[in-house]
Amino acid sequence: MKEKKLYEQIVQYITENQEKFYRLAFSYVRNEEEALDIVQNSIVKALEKYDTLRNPDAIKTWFFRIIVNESLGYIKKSNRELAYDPELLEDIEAETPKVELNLSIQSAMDQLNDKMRTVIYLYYFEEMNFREIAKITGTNLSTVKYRHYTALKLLKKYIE
Amino acid sequence: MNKIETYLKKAKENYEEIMIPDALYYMTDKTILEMTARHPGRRCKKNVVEMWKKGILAAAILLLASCGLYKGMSLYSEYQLEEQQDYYEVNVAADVNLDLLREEVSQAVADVASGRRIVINIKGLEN
Repeated sequence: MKEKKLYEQIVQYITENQEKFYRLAFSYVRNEEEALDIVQNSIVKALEKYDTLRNPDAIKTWFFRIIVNESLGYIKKSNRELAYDPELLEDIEAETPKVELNLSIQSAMDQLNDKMRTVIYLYYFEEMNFREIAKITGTNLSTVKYRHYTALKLLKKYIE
Repeated sequence: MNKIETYLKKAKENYEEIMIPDALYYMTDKTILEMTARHPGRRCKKNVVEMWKKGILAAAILLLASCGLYKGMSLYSEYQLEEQQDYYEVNVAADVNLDLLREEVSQAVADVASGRRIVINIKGLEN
């Protein structure tokens, strides 16, 4: 009964937040098909191993951890450099200066390593706190703070 | 740093504008349905394994409990025997005081009446 309830909670959480998962996955791979694959694999993994989730209150960090690991694993597996889709780049360049500003920050972010980029995505885009990020990335709090600080310093250097 | 943070906040707006394909909703529903269809079977298999484990545990507990009960019963029987074999000794000297003897015997009779098995040894009568 308890197991069934937990399973249903996870299903509900996935259904309600699938757009967030897609956005995060897309930020890593910049490709619709691949982002969909990542989300699908993450859902399968989560529902297969749902009984490993001890504390139902930790669904958020538990599922984001799966998404982040799956995304990083996908990048590693395909062993490719992250780059903008040329078509997407052309579309964006044709738009407003605001987008150009975003493009420069995105290009700078792409130069960060995966660990630092993960901290930036989760902290600024998903509005998570350092403690949550530490749980998701499986590191301690000070490491997350250090990565955040270093990432900001590097971004400043890349942009200027 | 503040400049970068402002840039990042603007980048967040762009992030939130990432187009969500309809395929996402279809894929999510399909995956959840497939996994849920697989889910009861897996749970059933798991439950069977758990039932075996529980059965073995229950049998072990039952065995231990019956051993404990048997041992306890044996000890209690021994204790009862010891309790029952209560000797009541009446010493009767040559110059026996009949009043005292009467009192001792009536005490012994009272004890017998209370359910205790009393063995009365009357010594000294040989004198």
